[in-house]
Amino acid sequence: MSTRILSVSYFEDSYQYLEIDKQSGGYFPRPAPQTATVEALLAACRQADEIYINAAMPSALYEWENFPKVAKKYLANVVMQDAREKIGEGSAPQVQHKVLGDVTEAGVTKSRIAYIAVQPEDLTPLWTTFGKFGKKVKAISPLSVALASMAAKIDRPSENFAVVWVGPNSSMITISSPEGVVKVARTVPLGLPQGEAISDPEALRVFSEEFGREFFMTSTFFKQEFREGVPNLLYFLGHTQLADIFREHPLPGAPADVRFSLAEPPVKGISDSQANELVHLIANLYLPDEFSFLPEEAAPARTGDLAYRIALAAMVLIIIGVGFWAYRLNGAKQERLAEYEKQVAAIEKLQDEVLTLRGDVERLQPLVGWKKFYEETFQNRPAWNMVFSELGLLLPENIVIDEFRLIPQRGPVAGKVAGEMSGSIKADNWEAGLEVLRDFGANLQSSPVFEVVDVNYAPEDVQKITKVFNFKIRLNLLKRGSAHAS
Amino acid sequence: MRLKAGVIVVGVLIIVQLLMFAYFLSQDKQIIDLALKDLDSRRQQLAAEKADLQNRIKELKSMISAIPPWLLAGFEDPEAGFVEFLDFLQSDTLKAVKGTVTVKSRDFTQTPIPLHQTAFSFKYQFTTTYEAEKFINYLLFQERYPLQVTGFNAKKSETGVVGGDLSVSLLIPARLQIPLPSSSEKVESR
Repeated sequence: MSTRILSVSYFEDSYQYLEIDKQSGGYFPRPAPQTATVEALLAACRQADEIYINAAMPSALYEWENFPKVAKKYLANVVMQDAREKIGEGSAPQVQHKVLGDVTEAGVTKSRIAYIAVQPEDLTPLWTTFGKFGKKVKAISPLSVALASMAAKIDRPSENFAVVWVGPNSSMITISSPEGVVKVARTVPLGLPQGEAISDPEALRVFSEEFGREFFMTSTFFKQEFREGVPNLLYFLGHTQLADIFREHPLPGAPADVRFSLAEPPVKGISDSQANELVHLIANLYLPDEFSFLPEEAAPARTGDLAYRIALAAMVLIIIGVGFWAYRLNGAKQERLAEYEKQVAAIEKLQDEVLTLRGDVERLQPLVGWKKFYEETFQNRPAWNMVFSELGLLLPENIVIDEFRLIPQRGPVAGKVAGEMSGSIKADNWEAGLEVLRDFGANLQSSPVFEVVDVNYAPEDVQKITKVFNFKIRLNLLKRGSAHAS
Repeated sequence: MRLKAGVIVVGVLIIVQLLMFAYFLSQDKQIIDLALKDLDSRRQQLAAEKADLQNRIKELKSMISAIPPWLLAGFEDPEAGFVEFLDFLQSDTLKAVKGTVTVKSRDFTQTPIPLHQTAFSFKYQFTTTYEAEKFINYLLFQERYPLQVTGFNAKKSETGVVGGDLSVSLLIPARLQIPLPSSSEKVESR
């Protein structure tokens, strides 16, 4: 994904522009437009993602000054005050500055600051033209700043250097620090010879001499202003023919190191000659953050932009937070759903098991009746087959049993069947009979067949010589495990 | 500017939707928690019922094991059983005690199991207890015919002969229609 950059240069009251694609591999200029009308420029602005603008800005004042150290928030006012003093009290310049560091002056530490002050008349046309594109406009700077910054960033010179850009009708001479901060810049009304003059050696000689004077004036001013020597490095940029011209007609007083191109091509995909002719547009790609004269309206926009970014960041954080919360909730829900399904499956299995067990119980339940039937018919039957022989064993000689009968009832009760026997005892007296009956009852009670319930004992006829006493014993017949036990 | 506003609106909508989604998730979670509690209660109830039923089946199986299989095999047909019993009575043992038998009422009862009930009355005589007990042993202590003694009387006469009356009910059950379920074995194995 590439960023579409529009680079604009406003020079000699006309616009030139170049569309450049910023890709991961570098900057790739598109073919330069044949006609740079304002309409075409505005159309290009609408399609661009970012816009960078430079202009001659002839009113620009380039200053390097030492200021007393003040708080950062007051620095802009101090610089502005200085600029007003230098330009004139009635002016309202736009000022941009850069703090270069601290210097000691007469034992006092001061801030070394470079600033550029530009009159509104150089900026208003640009603001008017490009104001509607708002945030797309990333920088508006003097051409000198763009050229110096490009040379410094690409070639990284070790000392002050000069850049001479030659335009069709006027040129720009710039002297800059190694970091690309402009120290002196001048627009000179001297352009590349046009038409037949370009091949006229006399015209070219005159051009070189005139340019030499302009450069001499500039370097002299620089020497006076900064107390430094003339830069030893000079770039001639703007046209490929400059090399031929100044080699044929060397610039009077030119430094020893004169170059006609940068060490590396600033963009890719075009020839060196094309790059040299478009260098004033390409230089915008290397504009520093400082010294950008964006309109004041952009300030609130930037504030708004900051607020927007903060809001966006907050929104993203909230979305991430809520999203994470929802993600965890969803995880918890899924866990519970899985647990729910597991429980349902377990309950269904339990229900099936319980239903099966209920069916089994229902099938087996009738056998309870069979058990009871078995107990009543076979298991708990009294030892009928032992009644008579057991009585025969236990019966004393003087007792006669007349009757043994069952007391009618429905089946055995707890394995016992109620019965009754009656008979008589021969004894000398009632007490003797009772004693015999007691022995008999005790024997019955100790028998595994009988269980005595109660005894009824009475004399038959007290007048008889041989006393006979009747008795009646109610008893239970006990169950035996099996008749075969006998 | 429109793009910014659009981004903000979309962002707010996303946040609102996420919040709603999270709210619904939270509600779902609470509902599932309640349902889980109910399920747990239901599961415990079923587990308790299962344990009770298993114990009951164990008891029933234990009880069934006490019933002789020959009894459960029962009779093919009540009438056939009745006739078979009459044939059983044609025995020298009954003749030895000069016994007579009278068939009395016949009816059908449902409890404790469906069965055909026939009342018999026996009269017999004996002079020695051996004779009487041989007869009683023959009649009551066989393992084929379910009998229930409803009356028993033995009375000695002036001649020393004892006359006995014995009333029994022949209880012929309908054949058991339920084979012992194999599932019960499964239940026990669980």
